[in-house]
Amino acid sequence: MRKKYTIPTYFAFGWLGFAVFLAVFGSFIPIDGYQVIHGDFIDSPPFTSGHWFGVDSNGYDIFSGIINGARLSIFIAVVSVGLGGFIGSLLGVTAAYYRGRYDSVVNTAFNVVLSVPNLVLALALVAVLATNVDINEAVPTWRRLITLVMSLTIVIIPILGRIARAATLAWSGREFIVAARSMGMRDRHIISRHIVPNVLPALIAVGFLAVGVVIIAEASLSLLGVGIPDGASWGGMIARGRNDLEYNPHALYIPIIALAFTVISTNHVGDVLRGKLDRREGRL
Amino acid sequence: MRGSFWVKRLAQLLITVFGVTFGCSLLVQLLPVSPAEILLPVGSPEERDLLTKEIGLDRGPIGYYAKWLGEFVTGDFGDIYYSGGTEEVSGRLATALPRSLLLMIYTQIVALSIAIPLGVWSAYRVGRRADKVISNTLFTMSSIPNFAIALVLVLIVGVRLQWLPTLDYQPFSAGPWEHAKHMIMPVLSLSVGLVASYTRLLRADMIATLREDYITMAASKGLSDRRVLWRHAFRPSSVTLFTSAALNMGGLIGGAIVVETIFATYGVGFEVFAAISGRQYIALQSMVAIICIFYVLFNLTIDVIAGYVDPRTRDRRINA
Amino acid sequence: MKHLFRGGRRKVAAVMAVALVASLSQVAPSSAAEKPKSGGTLNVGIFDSFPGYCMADNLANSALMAGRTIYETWVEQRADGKIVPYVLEKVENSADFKQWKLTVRDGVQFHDGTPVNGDALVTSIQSGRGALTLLGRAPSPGTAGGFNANIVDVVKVATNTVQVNLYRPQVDFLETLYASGRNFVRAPSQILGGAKCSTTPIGTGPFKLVSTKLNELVVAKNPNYWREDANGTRLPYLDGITFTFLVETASRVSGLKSKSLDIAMFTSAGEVKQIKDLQKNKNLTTILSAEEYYPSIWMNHRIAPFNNKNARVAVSFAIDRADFVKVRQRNFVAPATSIVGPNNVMYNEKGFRQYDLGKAKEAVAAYKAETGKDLEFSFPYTAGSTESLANATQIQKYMTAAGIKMNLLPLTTAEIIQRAFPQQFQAMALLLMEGTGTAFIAPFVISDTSGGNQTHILRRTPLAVLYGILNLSAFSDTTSEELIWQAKATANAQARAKVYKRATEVLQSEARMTTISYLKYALAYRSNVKGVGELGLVNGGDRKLMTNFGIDYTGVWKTGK
Repeated sequence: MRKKYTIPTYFAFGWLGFAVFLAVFGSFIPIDGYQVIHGDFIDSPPFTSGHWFGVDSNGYDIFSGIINGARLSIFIAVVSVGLGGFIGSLLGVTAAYYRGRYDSVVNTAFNVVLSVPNLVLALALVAVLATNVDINEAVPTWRRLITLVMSLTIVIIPILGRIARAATLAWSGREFIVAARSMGMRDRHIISRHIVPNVLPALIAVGFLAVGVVIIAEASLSLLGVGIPDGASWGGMIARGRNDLEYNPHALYIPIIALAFTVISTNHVGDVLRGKLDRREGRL
Repeated sequence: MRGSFWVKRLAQLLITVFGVTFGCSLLVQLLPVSPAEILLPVGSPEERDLLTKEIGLDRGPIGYYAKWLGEFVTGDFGDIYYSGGTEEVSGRLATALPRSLLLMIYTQIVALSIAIPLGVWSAYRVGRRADKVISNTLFTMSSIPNFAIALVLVLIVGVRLQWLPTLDYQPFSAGPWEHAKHMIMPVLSLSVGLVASYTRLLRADMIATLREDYITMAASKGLSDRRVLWRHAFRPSSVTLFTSAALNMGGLIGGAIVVETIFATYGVGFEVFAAISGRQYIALQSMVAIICIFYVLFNLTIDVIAGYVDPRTRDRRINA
Repeated sequence: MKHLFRGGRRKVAAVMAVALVASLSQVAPSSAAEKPKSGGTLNVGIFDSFPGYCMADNLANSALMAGRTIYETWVEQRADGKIVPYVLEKVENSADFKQWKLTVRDGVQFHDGTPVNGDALVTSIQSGRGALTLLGRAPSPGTAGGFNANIVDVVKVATNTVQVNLYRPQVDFLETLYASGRNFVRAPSQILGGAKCSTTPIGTGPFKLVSTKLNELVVAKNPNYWREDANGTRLPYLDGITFTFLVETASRVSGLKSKSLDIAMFTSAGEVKQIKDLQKNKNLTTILSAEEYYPSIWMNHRIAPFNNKNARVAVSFAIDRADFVKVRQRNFVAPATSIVGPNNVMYNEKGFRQYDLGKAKEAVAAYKAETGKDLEFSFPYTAGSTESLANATQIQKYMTAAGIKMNLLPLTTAEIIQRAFPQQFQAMALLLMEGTGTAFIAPFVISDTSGGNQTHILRRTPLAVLYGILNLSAFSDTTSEELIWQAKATANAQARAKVYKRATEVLQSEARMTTISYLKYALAYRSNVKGVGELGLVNGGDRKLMTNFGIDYTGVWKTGK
């Protein structure tokens, strides 16, 4: 079952590597910061000299925005999906496995969080956590970032958690699990050897999808004024490019392309990872 | 046995609603400024005291919640406060809620009816070109925020082709076609992202199911591929799909703010956002409670459906 | 209170004036040959929501346009800026401008059938100054309380005649009565109607309420409207109008282009790109207001650093206004040369600090020498609005060049509004001042709008705060306001203008606030909309074609279905 790496896979790893490189070393690239307004280049199309990706109608250089956005978007996505996925699947899998009161508590908690629109949640968190007593003192970006990541993590936990729970429910009734239990195998072993490998494919499928979802969710939050300030992430760039659609479409489609490449690449990487995990399942 | 399952389910439902509403009422208590001060920015201290009493904020967190709950169950969802008087939240919800519910239902129907065939097909053709094309197209679509899709639709379908109106909502009573014309673009913008997510879920589960022994056996009995796919493989593979669909309910009812704003559909999402930005926290609390109730009810329905679709989960539940 | 200064773009004032004249001549002949047709409804897209219709609910710009289909004002403004009676029949004043006798036009009635008479006028003025609030009979007047603070009392002297006594002489009292189109003829039944004051507007206008929400106002023809056209046809022509709040500029533009909207309104703050696009569209007519809207940067005198004059001077010198107008507003409006625009009676270039980087740096050094601190301040902008961010970033760039540290505060609009009037920010940009006269300028630049009226009815109540909160720079020096009150007591127009200009000079030389550029509004309509700007005022003379509250709908009609 060994999969050969194909051209799309190389592309996927290449793009993700490039994006991570931009995220880590982007600030060393000798171009103006993303916040600089280029008054003489407003509305420049892509391939203008000095502005490879063009300039939007407010004078922001899009290339610079993409580089800076890579850092924020990838950080937000990786941390909130990683953390949310880990906590969520831990809760979901154990809840479905052990059942009983623990399961109802976890399930209810998931429902409580899920039934509040994530926007309301984020707005509430920002209102409480990212406000200074002295109004004239700016809230540091890191505090806003943490608040944002927290609210997105809270959104992710029940989504992945419930999927993990549903999948575990479906699997834990299966003959080989029942058999393992009746043979006196320890719960920890059953979960890690038999349940997790079977639940993971669905989780990974959703988890990698969640990367895109989180980046886009952050865009909607920026639109409403509670995202990363300055529209500095890719999502924020898309949000602020919305009024440029008729006039400077590149301000909208360039960040969308960057985002699409990232989502497609993570999808491929997810597939490759799942291929490896599937081999474990095959050995059962 | 069955009865106890429903009692449990109902208890869970109530606990969820209580949890959400109590959380919201705590939020009102935790505000850095007194709600009376926010609602009456130019009022006198006496007026504010009166309002504090009227809302029940002088009774402590539990007392306040009890008062709110008592009124909520009798259909008094509180008021929106203006400088000169009040407006009942229920009146606002009466116009906004049907819009949001219809928007949500149509979006789910559209998304599922596209995602199910696509998911089954790409699982059947896993690893082949069709699978890859579907998968990559969907991922590209899913990386475009719904507001961007909405704006592109407006520009092409509304402005260039002039096929559909770009603004406003028409109720069903204004004629089915009038109603549909105003719903097509918002529904499409909202469903694109869901199609990608649903297709992925179904595909992943289908692939796993198709490896099962009973599928191999069914196929070896000489049943047609179509029959095996739909009769034997689809039903047990759709649990995660329906779980995920149920999860999106709350978000679609209350979170479609930007799309609602672009098309001037103005459903619950807009009302919630208006309540947040207008600092109408009492109205917000009631609105979130309503969203929560609908979310819980839809989840219950989906659970019932899922129980019939995949009896394994139902049995597990009943035995638990 | 009005909408936040979000930025903008543009051409020079001369070009603007030409465009305005051009659009006027474009409208008038096109339909002069056609006879107005009754019937039909319009869909109008606007960029402000409806906060309510009571005294303290400030309908901003395009929402005010919608509100003014239901409400009229006691007086109206002619195109030349003069205020003339409208729902009032006649106005007389005493020689010292301290007593004003206002007589209501006979035969006008509110939408609920009650007559407009002396009692209604008394109720209206008393509610606007907070006197009824004090008696517990009506909701708070809000900021209107500050606008009407010079009134000592209001007495009915005949069925239809009311006498208003002022504390200080005020030549331009009618401007205050007009309040830039905001002081509505509200029915006493609304004002005293308890919980429904904000949600049930009852006026005398050509249209009456069908339904209203935060995002929508639907109005229908008022069959008993008091005005007729020249042919004796009862006005208005239209059967109804739906105003929809569309916050996304793209929604308004595409609504017009896809024919979902008949009319849409825009602001030069952030929508220049779209306005210019609509001007080129052959299926649409786009009209522009004059540049009579003056967004300011307010600098809070109550807290550091702007309690120090050098700090304020440094900021005023540091802003490269011509560059800002080019970069942020595409030269669509003019860079500021005074805190108000050239059309305003207070316009005066003296003392206004134009861009001068050297002098800005000197002032920064002087600030440091005096206080021992580097000049640093925070500036709020609307989080989520690219326009607002880009404006703030551009200003930040000028500040950095002058050695001033400017921190950006991303806040939601609600937060900004909530903290603006208690004067909590160090500095902020907000559009408050407007018009050709001073009714909508003076309350924002004087420390106490009561003019020192110790006998005022609200003086010892918590509502007295309304006298002072309108001045966002929160300065207490009274030199400029004494000049303003002195001007308001001067009968001779030329002499009055001179005193006003001296007040402006004082404000500018003290750098109480500064202005970067002016602002204007645009309205675009499809070719089936006729009669825009054709119906004059009741006693002759034209209205302004286009203002911040758009156009007047009384004489507008529609061709086709």
